[in-house]
Amino acid sequence: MSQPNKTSFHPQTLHEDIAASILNPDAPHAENLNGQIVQNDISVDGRLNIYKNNVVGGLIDVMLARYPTITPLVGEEFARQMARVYILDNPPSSGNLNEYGGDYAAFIRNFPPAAELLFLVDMAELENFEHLAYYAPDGQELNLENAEQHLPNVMAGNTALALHPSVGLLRSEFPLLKLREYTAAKSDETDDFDLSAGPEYILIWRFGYRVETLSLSAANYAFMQALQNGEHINQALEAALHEDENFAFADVWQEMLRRDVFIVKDE
Amino acid sequence: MQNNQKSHDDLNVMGIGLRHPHYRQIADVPPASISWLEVHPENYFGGGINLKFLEKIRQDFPISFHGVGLSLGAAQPVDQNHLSQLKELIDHIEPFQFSDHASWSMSGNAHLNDLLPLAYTQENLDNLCQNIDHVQNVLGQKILIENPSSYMTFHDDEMTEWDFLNAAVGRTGCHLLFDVNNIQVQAHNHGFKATDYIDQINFDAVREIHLAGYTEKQVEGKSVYIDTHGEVVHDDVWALFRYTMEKYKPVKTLIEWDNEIPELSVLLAESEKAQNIISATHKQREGTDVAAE
Repeated sequence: MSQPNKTSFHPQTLHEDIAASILNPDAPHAENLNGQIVQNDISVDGRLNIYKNNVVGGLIDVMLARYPTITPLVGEEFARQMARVYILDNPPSSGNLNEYGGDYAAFIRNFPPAAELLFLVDMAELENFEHLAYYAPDGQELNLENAEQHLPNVMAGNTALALHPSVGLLRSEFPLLKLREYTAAKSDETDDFDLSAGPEYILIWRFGYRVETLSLSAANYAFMQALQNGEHINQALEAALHEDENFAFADVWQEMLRRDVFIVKDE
Repeated sequence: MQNNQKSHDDLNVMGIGLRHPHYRQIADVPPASISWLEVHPENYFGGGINLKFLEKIRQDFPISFHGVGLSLGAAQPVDQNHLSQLKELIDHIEPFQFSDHASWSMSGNAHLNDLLPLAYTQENLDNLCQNIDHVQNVLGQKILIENPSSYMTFHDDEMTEWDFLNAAVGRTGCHLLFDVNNIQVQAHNHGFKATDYIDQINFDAVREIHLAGYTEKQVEGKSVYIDTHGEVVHDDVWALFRYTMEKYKPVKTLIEWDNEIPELSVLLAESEKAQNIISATHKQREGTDVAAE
């Protein structure tokens, strides 16, 4: 079989041409590659396709694993197609794939075929918070054992009370956690899930070796959100009472201490 | 007696890739039939649950780092941010070695999550050696580079893959990670004799062997082996491993499995199979040595 004439290129150009071809899988490859890649019974396109499948297919798998509930909500074909469009618009810029795909919720919000599925955006946000919680660094936890030691300093303003680096807070118009349970359990029966049972206030955080989620009251959510914004515990309490004048601070405080969601930071 | 003990330790070289589905099991009951574990350091950058498990498991096993993100063969310098995260993790976990690949993933700002092949030219050898030198300087240690699997070769190729790798060893003092599966993949995909590769590689520089399963696909009616790390080690790769162990002394050997990860027992059974080959060929080699004396 005759091969096109050999042409030499600086490796930078060759790598750029190959990368561009892989990341634009539906466009024709750069003409230069015909003179660079040995065909040997398989065309240049056939050889590039192997890499396109590895790279794009691999990233689709990464996205589906990172957002596991999107697939049962919309079906495998839609989920893969949506991930593919995202990947081609937003190729990775780092060798650390755990950082990849964090802005998927924003992408879904503007993805026309998903326009009517507003709960998808929130589900992606929830599962992104879970991913971030999984990989978040540790902090100096405030818990039932050391609370007595730290609290006087917190009240005096010498030590800041903050949320653990793994904590995420999400307010959704939809009953997301119930939707996820329902999705995981559902058989092929007709969809009768009531999406109007929201809003839901969700706490996402790491507890030991697990990532957990918990549905909070609006007042507890306001309390946590104020702390997340760097406010003093007294202001956080005010925010909670503003939401619900019967906010049972002592109970909530004990419960949150048990769940390892706070850390202390020296001012 | 002492010699026997030493010789036993020299043969006790098997490890497996530590993967997420097996964290809890390995942390709770460290398997006795393996003596080390290997991880992709990128999965532990930043911290979190993976790192918590690694901190625990490293108390039971020596750890090797096998990087996938440095893009050593790129026509551009290594990503400094990636390298500093790597260094930080190395300082924290203290793995007994670090390896990455003789391939490229980065071009400009684009990062492809695959190991792309180099044309085997002097110019690419210069780029690769420059990056290896830099990484070795920053990490303060010799690194291992792994021979790749690939699905294309280039008209510009000026030398064989083994000559290219041997030259990199000669110039940088780096070591080799010899992936026997990749050699079978290359021999099949690009049409050369796998044993030529094994005969001509500078095995004194080899510090680790990888064994994994490829997947056969048809591309335009032609059979291509794809390096999927998603199956058991195939018979042709076992035969090449036996050939390697008949010829050279054992080095640390790893069962590598990255996709469709099975039960831990499957990996341990593969490891046992490799261990049996190491022990059997060792006896043969010893027999040959005695006969020669």
